[in-house]
Amino acid sequence: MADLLLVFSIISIWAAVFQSIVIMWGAVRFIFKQSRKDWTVPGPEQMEHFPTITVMVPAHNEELVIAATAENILRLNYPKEKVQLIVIADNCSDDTAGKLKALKSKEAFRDRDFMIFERTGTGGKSGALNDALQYAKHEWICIFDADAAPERNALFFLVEKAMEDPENYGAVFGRNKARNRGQNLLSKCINLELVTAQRIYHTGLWELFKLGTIPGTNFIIKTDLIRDIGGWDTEAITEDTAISFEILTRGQLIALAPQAEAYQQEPEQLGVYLKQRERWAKGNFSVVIGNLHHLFNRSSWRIKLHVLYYTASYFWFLLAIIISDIIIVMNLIYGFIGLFNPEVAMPFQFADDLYVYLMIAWGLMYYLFVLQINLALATDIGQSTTQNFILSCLSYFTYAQLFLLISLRAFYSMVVDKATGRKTKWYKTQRFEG
Amino acid sequence: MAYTAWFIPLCRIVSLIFAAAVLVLFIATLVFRRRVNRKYDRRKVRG
Repeated sequence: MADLLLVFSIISIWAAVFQSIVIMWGAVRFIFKQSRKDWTVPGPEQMEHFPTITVMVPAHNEELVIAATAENILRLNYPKEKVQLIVIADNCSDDTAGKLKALKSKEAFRDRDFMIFERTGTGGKSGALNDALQYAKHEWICIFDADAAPERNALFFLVEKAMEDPENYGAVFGRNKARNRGQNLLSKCINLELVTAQRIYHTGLWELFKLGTIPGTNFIIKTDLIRDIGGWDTEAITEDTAISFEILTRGQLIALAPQAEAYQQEPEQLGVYLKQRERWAKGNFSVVIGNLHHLFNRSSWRIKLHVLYYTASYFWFLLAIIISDIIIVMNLIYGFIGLFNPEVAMPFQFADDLYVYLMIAWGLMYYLFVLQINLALATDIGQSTTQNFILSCLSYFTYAQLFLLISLRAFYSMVVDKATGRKTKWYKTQRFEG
Repeated sequence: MAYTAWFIPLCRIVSLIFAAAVLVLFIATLVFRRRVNRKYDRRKVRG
């Protein structure tokens, strides 16, 4: 039995290492290609042929951040007459709508197509977006979260990418950066995770397989496509992952526009972080299970690969990490006790050198983990620092292990939901001033 | 025949291939980092 568990762990870690090598290879190719490109940004007067955009911002009790976000959007480098802004003050009990009205009355924004939609209804973020969809009058819809601070050219880069292949690109997404990345140890670790996910995983998957997943913010989607899908799924906890599968199912691609950058707030307290990530993990578990059928029917290879990637990350590799952690930790504990009491033997005894190969596989995984973070940091000017390097080495044993705890809690919560018919409560991430 | 008779040679081959791939990626990372540092290192900009 012990041998079987060990062989399962070794093969699973190989699969994870193989996946990481392939994705990192794609990322390296993408990064080298990007570094040779010359980026020029035209002014709004040169964007006459660009499509019209409806920007939608769902906001639930966001008085701290909403005015700055709306102002950022109104000042984007895009023709004014081609942008419609709808900010949804969703079930607000604070002064979100008041802050928006004050902004709208400013001289600079009086002539703008700017709608403040005060809504009372159910469905959380998805419900708010669905209700606002009926007022969207332009060709593409752009979504920004209420705490987003898009870089001035973010919308231009998203649309420019869409125009490369408007027939096949159903959606385009950009990069999100942590605006509070230096606040404390937690936000520094989240920053490393965000940078690696966006600069290695997103780029690698796009470069090699033209695969993408829209994030919850900083993306555009064809208005007709989202209407055809039936809007945002109010039952899905991670509506962005659910929509991504719907887009791929319709044969459309989700393209990456790496220059479209927006800043967002990340949690600064462990409790807030755990709640947010548990919601994401639970949502992704549900979406993956709901899309498993694609593996066995006539869906395209791209969607099969997408399902496989998620299944491996959320189920297979997770199980392998748990088993290998148990093997290593139990043997370490018993080995330590054995120093004082030689009669105590390690619980997992293996034939020949098998244990050595588990350690080699694990060592490669760890090395790749650190390497990926540091390649990602090198691509983001100012982030490749000694402090971040040390943090990347330590985060595997600390921050990354939280993923285990979060996934197990999310899985348990999902099983309880299914067994008892409990409805998942939508939870909004707490914001901070500044 | 014990499964280790074929599994251990497999472990050796796979570990070697992965180690070589990781080495290539490590070199690519260093090359890219050097290129970025050369391009953006402000200490080298004069005037």
